[in-house]
Amino acid sequence: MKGIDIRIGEIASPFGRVRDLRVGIGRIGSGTWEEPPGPTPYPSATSLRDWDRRLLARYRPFYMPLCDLCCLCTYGKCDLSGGKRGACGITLAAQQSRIVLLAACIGAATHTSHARELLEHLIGRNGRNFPLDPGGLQVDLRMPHVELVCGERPETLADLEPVLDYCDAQLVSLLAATHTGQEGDPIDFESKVLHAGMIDHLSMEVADVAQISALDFPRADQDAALVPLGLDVVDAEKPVILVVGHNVPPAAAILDYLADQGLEGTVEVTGICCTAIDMTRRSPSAKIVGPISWQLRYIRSGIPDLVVVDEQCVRTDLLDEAGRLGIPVIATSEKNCLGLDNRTKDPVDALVEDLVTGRVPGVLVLDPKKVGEVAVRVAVRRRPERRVREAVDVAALAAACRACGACTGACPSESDLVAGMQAAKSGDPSVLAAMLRSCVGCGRCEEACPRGIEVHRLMVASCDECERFTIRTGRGPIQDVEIREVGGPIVLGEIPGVVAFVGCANFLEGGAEVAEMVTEFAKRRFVVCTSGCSAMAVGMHRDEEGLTPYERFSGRFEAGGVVNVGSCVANAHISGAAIKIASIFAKRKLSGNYAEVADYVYNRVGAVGVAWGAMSQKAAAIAAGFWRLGIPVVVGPHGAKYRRMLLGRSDIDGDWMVRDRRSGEEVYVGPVPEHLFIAAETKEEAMAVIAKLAMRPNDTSRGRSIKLSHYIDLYDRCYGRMPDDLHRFVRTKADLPLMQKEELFRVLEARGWVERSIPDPTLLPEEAFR
Amino acid sequence: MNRSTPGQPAMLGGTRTATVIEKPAVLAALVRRSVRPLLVVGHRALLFGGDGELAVDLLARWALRGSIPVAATGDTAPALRNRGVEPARCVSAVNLAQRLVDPGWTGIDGAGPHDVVFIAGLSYALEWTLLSGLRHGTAPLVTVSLSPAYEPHASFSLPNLSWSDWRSLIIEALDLGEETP
Repeated sequence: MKGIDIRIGEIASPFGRVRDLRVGIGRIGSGTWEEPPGPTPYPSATSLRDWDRRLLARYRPFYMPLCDLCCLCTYGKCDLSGGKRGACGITLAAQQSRIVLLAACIGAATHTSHARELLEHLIGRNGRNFPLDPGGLQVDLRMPHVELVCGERPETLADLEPVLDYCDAQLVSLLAATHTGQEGDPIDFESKVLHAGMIDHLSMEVADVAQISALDFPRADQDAALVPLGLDVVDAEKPVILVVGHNVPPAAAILDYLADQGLEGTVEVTGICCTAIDMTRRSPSAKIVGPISWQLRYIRSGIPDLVVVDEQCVRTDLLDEAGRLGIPVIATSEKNCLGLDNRTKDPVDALVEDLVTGRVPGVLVLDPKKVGEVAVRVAVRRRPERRVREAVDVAALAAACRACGACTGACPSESDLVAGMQAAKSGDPSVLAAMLRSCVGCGRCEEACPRGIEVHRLMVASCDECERFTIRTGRGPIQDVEIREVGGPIVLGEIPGVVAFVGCANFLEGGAEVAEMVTEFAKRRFVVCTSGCSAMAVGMHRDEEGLTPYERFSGRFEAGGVVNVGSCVANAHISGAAIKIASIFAKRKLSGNYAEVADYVYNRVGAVGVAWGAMSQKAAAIAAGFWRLGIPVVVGPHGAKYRRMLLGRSDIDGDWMVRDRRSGEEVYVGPVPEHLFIAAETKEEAMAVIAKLAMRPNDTSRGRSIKLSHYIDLYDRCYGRMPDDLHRFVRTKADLPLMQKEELFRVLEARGWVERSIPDPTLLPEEAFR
Repeated sequence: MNRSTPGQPAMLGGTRTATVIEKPAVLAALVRRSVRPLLVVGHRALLFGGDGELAVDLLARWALRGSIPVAATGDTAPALRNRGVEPARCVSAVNLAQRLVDPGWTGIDGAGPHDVVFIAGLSYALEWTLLSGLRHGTAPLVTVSLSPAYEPHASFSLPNLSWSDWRSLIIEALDLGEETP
């Protein structure tokens, strides 16, 4: 039951007189938002199916199965290769899309559950009526996703509960669709993938706005603090706490306890993965060690006196790794209990004693406040007993290597570890050291080694590079005023695009590639955003002047800015910025008006997501949320393992027709953007693709000429020649970059180019705008 | 490692796995019988080599000698051009694969669909997934992996080879003769 809203001006009763009473059921907020509801508030899994099918007709799924079989029910295993159907009738294409949907559901469920756990904690801490304030006076449009999808304008923490109720219900429905004998059509599965992505961005927005508001994170702050990043920023003389994961309440409680006890500065609070970013949003005194791939190397250093884990992307063998060095562990999430006893109700003194003496390897404590006190007291007491690992004799340990190649075959980065080990054996550790730069820290090399050599440990020991960097901590949303300033230039194409480097750290050739791409696009005056582990990877590289990208470029959402929005859940602010452009700049109605706004973003906002090291199901869901808004996503080579691309066919002109709202006619606009989801092989190829995908049908000639100049230049850098498809992106001669106009025009003439008009483009029928 | 264990052993193939090209004559026959071959060269062909020679040197020589159209993926095109080969198309690997599975596609140079695709130089996992996509397509296509690690999803694949073994096999199979790098 939704939308019941009872208002009583004044009523007299035997109990007294009541004025201005309002009772809402299934409604959010005070109701001061007067925008009339659009066509699809709280959309079901099929409400936006028509919009999805328009996108998917252009961007056909290309499946690359990781497995030919289906083994999800007891009919199976079923062999789906060679056009065969399974016992239930499913095809290989449908099975792949079904697995993609499962991944997207896992990702979206993870963020939704994260948001729920966080929200419950914050309501308990700050109260149900605590106001939402993600941006102070700079942000009036506080939650663009909630307004767009739900048609509601939340004002308090409690107002977010119905949003998560909706997310829960949708995800259950989507998950049900993957049961045997439900959907069998790949495109319907794909439509549901997009729905899961939309839900994912909704729940991410809930999580981040709630924590910004209640934990006093930077509020749309362009000048958010520059904070230390890297292994060597840790002052190992002090007691050291490591927090790993994504859900910040336990880490925040540690920082709060230190502040309450006057102990700030006496204990190092360090973090890995998104919790680390969010800790520094709470307090710039916290330190970020690195992305998820730093877990093994940091724990094995023996420096942390205690490890606290919350949820997501935490190594599942972390308890074993820590246990080898006697480092106690506190698990803090219902989703990641590590097999430990639940000691939430035990007295603090008992917990501290058991952890310090090693009586137990770790405890499960589901009360963040208690975790804060226990963690600090354990770290302080354990510090004198810390067992830092002794230096490794690399050559001596490498001597056991028989060059069987098992480590190389197991390495996801495809490093020639055998060569590294052989060099190390002969006294040259530099080859192994260089390989650490592309190491994702998975430790599979050690698992594979039949002689039990700690290959990863030798790589770490071989490398003596100092890791001391800087990152601008997560600023949160984009300000409304920033949108007003850049909305026009972005929509007209005069700012060549918005590029968001998001996602995990499963880089084939190291994080330096991300830093290089960020620097390239910032120099080219794109608006560059970062988040999560990618944001950290960007900060871990310096230019020739010794500056990290965060020190070199401003944190404003402007041409040439490098904007770290925050942790994974802050990705919602990047997609949210695109929605804000539609609302603030173009005055499109948001309330329950998803298809129209997505159509606007798709045709006008030159945004591109780049998840160069995407690894997780969450990354899959995040990408899907961008796709439904019409924002393309580029992944690195490992991203092909998501088993499905969404690729356009630039050679089929009929795929690229839009309706011109001015004339009502169908017109050709060229393949812009050409793909919704594509894996690039190298960073050079990725940069050319990114520049191309930033083009939109609505670009003015001036804007298109700017975008084309970047595309031509980056294409030439990658391929050493003029783009093969140049003629598809030029509508009029005025689109051509001024400096190359005549040369390019000759190329176009040779390809039989014909001038065409620039429409007012839409994929929607006219009735969608009424 | 066994010669026909997947180059990354965990990346097992499907219900059918590639025929291992144990002898140069097998590869030579595949080349000889191809009517509309295509050679796909990825960026790892610029990294795999020894003694001052790279895989791309041999592949370029073969493309020149056999007049085989080349699709350059990644950032391979300049290196091919430096060796006298102008790629028919510079294209992303997955985008190319999507077209190859379309029976209506007219080929890299517009001269008709390809019957045999030789692939070398992609990262292992990318090639593995790409070949999976190709073998499930509707177009009749023979895929041959020339990478030095066994690719189970190809129709035919070289086994796991060292640089020197790979070089010897390629030179003999493609009749490239010895040439000082």
